[in-house]
Order: sequence, then C-alpha cells, then structure tokens
Amino acid sequence: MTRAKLFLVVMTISLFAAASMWSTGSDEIVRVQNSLPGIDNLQGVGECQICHSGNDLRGYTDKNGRIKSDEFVKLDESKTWEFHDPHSRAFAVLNGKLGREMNARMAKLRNDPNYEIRKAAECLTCHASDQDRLKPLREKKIESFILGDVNGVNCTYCHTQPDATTENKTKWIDAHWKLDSGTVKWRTDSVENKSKAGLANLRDPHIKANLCVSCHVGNPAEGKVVTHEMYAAGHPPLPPFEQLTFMEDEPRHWGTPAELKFFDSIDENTAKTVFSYHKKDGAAGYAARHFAAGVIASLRAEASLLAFEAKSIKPHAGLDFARFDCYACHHDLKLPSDRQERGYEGPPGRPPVKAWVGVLAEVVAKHAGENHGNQFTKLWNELKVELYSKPYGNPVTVGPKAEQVIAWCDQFAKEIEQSNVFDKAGAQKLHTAIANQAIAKAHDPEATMALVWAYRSLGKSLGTDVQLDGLKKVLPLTVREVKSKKNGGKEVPNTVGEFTNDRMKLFINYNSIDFLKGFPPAKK
Amino acid sequence: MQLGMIGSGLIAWMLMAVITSPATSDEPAPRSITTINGSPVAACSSAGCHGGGAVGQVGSEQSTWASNDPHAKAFRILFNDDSIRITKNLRRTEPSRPAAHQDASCLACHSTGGNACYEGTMMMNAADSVGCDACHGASSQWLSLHYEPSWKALSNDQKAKFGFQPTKDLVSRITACVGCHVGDAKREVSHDLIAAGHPRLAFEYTRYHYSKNYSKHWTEPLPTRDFEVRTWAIGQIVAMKAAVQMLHERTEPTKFGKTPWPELSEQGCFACHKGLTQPLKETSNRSIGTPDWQPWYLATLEILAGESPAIFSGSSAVNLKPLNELAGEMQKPKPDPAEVHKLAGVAESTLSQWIAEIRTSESKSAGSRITSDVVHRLAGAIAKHGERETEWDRVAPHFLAVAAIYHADAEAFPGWKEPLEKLKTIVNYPAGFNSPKSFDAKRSQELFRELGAK
Repeated sequence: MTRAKLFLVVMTISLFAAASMWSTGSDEIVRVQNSLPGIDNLQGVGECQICHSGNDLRGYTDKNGRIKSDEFVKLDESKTWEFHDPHSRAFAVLNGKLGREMNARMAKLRNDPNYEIRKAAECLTCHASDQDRLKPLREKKIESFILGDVNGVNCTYCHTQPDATTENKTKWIDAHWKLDSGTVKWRTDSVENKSKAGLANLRDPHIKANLCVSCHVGNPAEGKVVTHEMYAAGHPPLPPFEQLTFMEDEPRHWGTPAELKFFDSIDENTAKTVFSYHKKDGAAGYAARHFAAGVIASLRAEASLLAFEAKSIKPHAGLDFARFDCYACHHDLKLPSDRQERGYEGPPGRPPVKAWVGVLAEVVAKHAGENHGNQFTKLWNELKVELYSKPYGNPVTVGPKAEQVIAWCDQFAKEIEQSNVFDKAGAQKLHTAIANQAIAKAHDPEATMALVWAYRSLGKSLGTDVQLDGLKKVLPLTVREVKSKKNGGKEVPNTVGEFTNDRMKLFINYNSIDFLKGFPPAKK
Repeated sequence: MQLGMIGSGLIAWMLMAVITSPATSDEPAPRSITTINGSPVAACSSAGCHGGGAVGQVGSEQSTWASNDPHAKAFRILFNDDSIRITKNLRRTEPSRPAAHQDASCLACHSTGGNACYEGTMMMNAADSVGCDACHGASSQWLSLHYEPSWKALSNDQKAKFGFQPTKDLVSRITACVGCHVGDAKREVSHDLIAAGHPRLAFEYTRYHYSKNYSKHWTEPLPTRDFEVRTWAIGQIVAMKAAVQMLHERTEPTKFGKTPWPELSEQGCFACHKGLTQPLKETSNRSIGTPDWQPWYLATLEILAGESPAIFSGSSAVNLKPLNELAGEMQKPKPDPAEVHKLAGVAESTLSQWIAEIRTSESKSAGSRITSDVVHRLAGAIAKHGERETEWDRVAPHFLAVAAIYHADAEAFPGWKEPLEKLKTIVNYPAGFNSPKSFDAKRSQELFRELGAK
C-alpha cells in the first residue's frame, strides 16, 4: 500500500469515527478534524498524528488507552506536542491577547498600520514552521511558512534536515514508517543516509541543541533575532537555555535510550555511530552530553548574535539592548542594593552580558580539561572587555572577539564528542562542578537559575533526588509550569507569556543571600 | 568654637598682605591677600566679617554655613560608608583608583578646588569643603576689596572681572549651582558613578532652596512669589543648558569616545530601572523601548518657553524646535554623535539667547512683579500638561513645579493643598527603594486633572 493510499484510508476511518462521535460532542474529534491538513500538505502535523497520537490504529495502546510502546518511539508524540507542548501554540499565540497587543505596538513602531505579526517573517521564523530555514531574513517569503493555529512549530520543522533539497525533504517521511522497507533497517541506517533522505539527526545532542537555541537564544543567519524593540512591544524575555531542563519541561515527547528497549538490542558501536548514544555511559552520560551540548550551543548562538549585531551597526553605535542582561537594567532600585554589594564584572554602570551563557560554559570547559578551561576563560574575558569598553559594547572590537568564541565553540564541540569525560563518573563530577559554580560567587539571578536547573536535571539522571523546595520563593525552578489549560473546552499547553510576570517578580526581588541559604540543598 | 573662629579670623586679618597694582579709572585694582594655608573659608570666618557666631544672622554667614549647610559636609562624606563602597566598586576594574577623598573626580565637587579656589589650589579638608569660593568665585582678586564702599558701587559685570560670582543675580547664582548639581565639562556624575553607588542628580533649584536641611546664610530681597517662580523658571532653563553643553562637549569630534557613549545618566532612570511586568505601560513621549533623554529638564520647558515673556518682562517667547530636534535624535536607540553635536550646538545657542534675555530682564526690571494671573496660568498649564504624563521622570518635575508655585503663593491656590499632598505621596519612593516602585501613573494623572480643575 502506498503512503498516499494508507493516508486516505486512515482519513476515511478518522472522519467516519469523527462523524459517529460528533453527537457526543467529543472535543478530541473536533480537534482531529481541525488538525488534519490538506492532503497535499505533507509538512503539516495531521499526517504525523495518524501514527503518533496514541490512537489505537496499530494496536499500540493497552485497554486503558495507555501507550504500550517502549521499544523505539512512544507513539503518543503528537498528543504530547498538541496538548502539553507550547511549540504547538507558537503560531496561535500570535493572535492571543499578548500577540494582539504586540501587533498594535509593532505597527506603531514600524509606522505601518498594515503590519501583522502573523505575516511578519521576523516573527514567523520562530512562531511557525519555516520551510526555508537557512535563508536570511531578507529573503524569507510568507509562502515558505506553514501557517495555521494547529501547526505552530511542528514535527517536520524540527525533524527535517534544514539543508535537504525540496525533493528530499519528504523522503524520510515515507521511509521511516514503511513496513515493507523494513523498519529496523531504516532505524539502523547510517546518519548520512537518513540525512540524505531529509531526516534531521536529532539524536545528536549538538544538532538538537543548535536547533533549539536557534529560537531560544537566536540565530541571525536564519533570521531568528528577538530584538529589544520586540521585547519593548511585549515579547516575554527569553530565559536562559539549559538543554536538560528544557527537554523535561517541554515536556519531552521522546524516550531516552535508557528508557527504550530497542537500545538494549543494538551494540555499542551502532548506538554511538547511528544514535550518538554512548551505551556504557547510560542515562547519566546521555544527560551530561545533552547538558554540555546545550551550553556550547547557547554560547555559540549568543556569540553569533553579538558578531552579527557588531557587523550590522555603525562604529560609534552600541549593540542592541537585547544583547545584554535584561534584569541588570530592568529592576526596581533598592537600598541597600544587592547588585552593588555583589559587584560588577566590568565598570559599574555598563550593561553586562547575559552572564548565564559564560557561567555555564565555564563549568563545561573546565570539566573537559584545564586547557579547555583556560582557552574559554581567555576568549570570554577578552570578549567581555570589548563589551564593557563602552556602554553597549564597541562593535569594532566585539565582532572579531565574538568570531573567536564561535570558532572555539565549534572546535570544542568536536573534541568533546570523542571525550570520555561524560561517562557516569564524569557526570557525577560535572554535577558537583555545577553546584560549586553556583556558590563560587554571587551570580546574577538568571545565571544562578540556569545552574540550579542544570543541577536538578543532571542530578535526576544520576539518581540524586535533590530537595529544592526551599528555593521556590527565590528562583523559578522550572522553565514553565507544565500543565494544560482549558481553553473554550479544549486543552492547550500554557504559554510563556502566561507566567512571565511570576518569573520577573522573582528576579526583581532576587537576593544572593537568600539563594545561599537554600543551596546546595540537602540530599534526600 | 567661637573663640577659635575669632582667633582664626584675627590671624587671617593679620596675615593679609595687600599686593596692589596701579588702579585705572574708577575701578579698584585687583589685590591679592594671603590666607591661612590658602584657605578662603578661614579668611572669611573672621568674627568681624562672616564668622560672627550668630547662626542665621547677617555677619555670621560662615557660621551658618558651617553649622547647617550640606555644602559644609561635602568633603567629610567622602569618608563615609557610601563613599567607601563607591570606591570599592570602581576599583574592581580600576584597582589604582584613589580613595574618594583623594580622587580628583570626586573632589571636583566635594571640595573647593581648582579655579574656584582662592589660589587655584585644591582645598582637600573638612574645614573648607564646598566653601565660600566654590560659589562666590575665587577670591584672591576681590577678597580685600569686597568690603569697601567702592566695591558695592560696581556692577555685576565689573565684579566678575575680579573673579567674583554675583550670586544675588539669580541667573549667576543658579549657574554656579548647576556646575556640580548638573555638571559641566570637567565635573560629571556619570552612570558608572551612579551604578557604583552615587546618588543620581536631579536638580530643581527651589527644592534645594527651601529644603529644611538647608539653612541659608543670606536673605532674599524679593517677595516669595516673585523669587520662587523666577528661580524655579531660571533653574529649569539653566539646568537644561548645562545638560546640553555637556552633551555638546561629549560629542565634540576630537574628544568623542574618550568618555562613555551613550552616557546613560543623561537618560531617564526609570525608563529602564523598573521591574518588568505585563501588561506593559504605554509611554507618552517616545517610542517604546527607546531611552528618554533628559526628561527631568525637558518636562516643563515647553510651557516655560511660552510663558517666558510674562515671567521675565521684556523677554520673548522661545521656539524650542532646536532642543526638540536634539531630544528626538537622542531618543533614538542609536543616536548619531555627529548629528547630536550639530543639534546640541544649535540648542545651546537657543538656550543661551534665552538666558541672556532673562538676565537683561532681571537687571532692568528687578522691581517688577509677576502678576497673580500669570502665576495661575503657569500653574494651570503645568497641571494640564502633567495629566498626560505616565512616567515618574516626567511626572516628578511637574509635581515639583506646581509645588513650587503653590509654595510661592499658597493663598492664590485654594484647594490645592490636599491633592498636592497626595501627589507627593505618589511621587515619593516607597520605603526601602531608591526608585518609584509600582508608580501609580493613573492616580497621578487624576490628581493633576484635579489640580487643573480648581
């Protein structure tokens, strides 16, 4: 049976089922109806839902509707994405209350009454699925985005190789499920072959991290830059990116290799070469590598934004305010001042960089070896000197220094891929290093929060259940509260804008002494 | 104490060695005298001159200054905890930075120094602090003359030739104040210094003049209404000019880049320094997300420009277009320094011309009075203008303006006291904060509306 035929059969069954349940008023059926794309829309989410919604189409659920599959994939990915993952609402939020307010402000700022954030490429690059991801912003066309409230940042956006040719972009969609081609053969096929078929290798923590940070930190080459203008118009501040915590709070719709039986059946080499999984390192190694990859990707992304901005502006100008620590300026002034007490990295009064980027990278670089640590510290400090040489940095000197940091990130990522410092013992040492970094000095609240997130998440993979409740009133302990909300009878994941105020209140009131009272926490 | 003062005054008098040069025409010749270790304060504190010991009385100006004038404490506070913390913060990136009491950038305003001092030397001691010469001008050329009858016959311009700052001339006086309280080419409280712990500068003359913590060592000849309205107005214009001059200097092509650019202390503090919350508060004067350049000094200037002829007889209405163009450029996220320099030059000329007209008016019509109608119209216009303001850095100067005018002539504004008291509560920082946390812009607008309606 061809894929198209199967699709039609499933559509028919689904629609029949939907029609029969209509009288019951089932929200879910209405949702499925609304979600199904046009048959030509192979980049939408509807096609994925056929198999990944946990519907009992192929016998993968038990009598209670729970997913039975713990073999290779969970098969309820679409359900998790749609009901719990804010990526599914990325486009819809542009038309929410905050989105509409932002629209009005951006139209005023741009002096363009016809400005629409739902049609603006600068917004859609992260709020919709861009099929021309690698094109710079000025070359983006509205036609290249998959729009629609049911899409958001969807399956194919993340799972498709961004540089695949148009012809190859959908090959993997057929290949990955066709039974007659042999599922296991596809699974264990080489990364190169899968990439050629258009599948992004999200098993590789570095590729995954670079994809995530392209929106969650930024990627100017792909037109993903949240500017101060956007923040001022109402965009919630981007929190620090820490890969493990983001994965858990997304919430993760995939199983880790340690959770899936399939990985028991393959050898060490296949696990490593095909799935970037170091079997002997287990769950702790998997987590440690993801943490490190997220840290390096974040540093690279921030350095790319600095380099891009530095090249884009006149020599006398300062970099965009968005490139600096939001809360260094945006706080009520207190007497006595915790900020003045903990001091400044540069001259007082110069907006500081986003410290979390360097604070986390320092931990990983030092963990990888003294030489790496020294190289990082030298380059990062040199970059900061130029960023603090005048308010908002000196673009003439910031650009080249940022490029050096980018080059270091690329080299470092390659080197640690083969390193054994992320085995279980290494993960334990890394966990301790994170805790030590958190108390080494009074960091700003974002950096402290990122360290606490990493400490908690890596600790879980090590079986170290840490008690962090004492810090609840000091720092946000999660990226977001993962809970679905009823919205007109439909369950939807809550969005960043809905909890921004709570986070900002904690940051504004942050006091490093309060933090040190609760950290490091007592082990359970 | 009194004996000490008398003693030091006597010694100063005894040590006065007059060095004269040939007198020309009817002007006295400049003369120098020697003082105790070069201290002008010591010279002034003679019991027979200004050190009489009867605080608050004529003849006891130095005693009044020493007993209850913050300027007398300006040097001593360089040793306090705040100053130590400021130095500590500055030393993080400048380890060789001297202690505050030895730091030339601090002493420029916390002592009587440089050109302002008697013999051009920095008086780094608690006895001098910001002493007589700091405000009245370096006294080496006029100290021995100023008590002679011929001195009193001189015009202000003639006295100025001797280095005397004619502080009875309100423009001259406030120009002396803003040198430190706003800044100039050599004296500046930068954002770096503020972040290290120095209080921000936000000058409004009448607020200082009538401060309970400031015992003045002189009396004003003008009735309160005239004096206070005039000084409020002159304070606004002179302070604005000082700010523009600093910007002009900062962007001078051969000097550009030697000091921080942009200088964040020129911008409204609370456009940035506020907790982020949703929903966003709209801004009335500029695009969202952009800095607000000198809102403190710009807030009411447009109203003043229109009312200038009524307040200062003989002066003309002022077109502030050059200043507004400068503000427009400075409120861009990335202002062009060359364009700023050009615009600041034009704006400075406009303000200088305005000040010159006021000075002429003041010298020619010192006896004229500001009518009650003018005071009412001015206060009403400011209250109406205040209705549209949403940000503290613009609301507070509106409040200070109407408060000054009310204070100048309270009987002319029945019903204003209560809303002004409420407005004061809103404008005051909450306890424990150095910023207007949760500033209630809506309530402020209501109260200005209430004032305007009365």
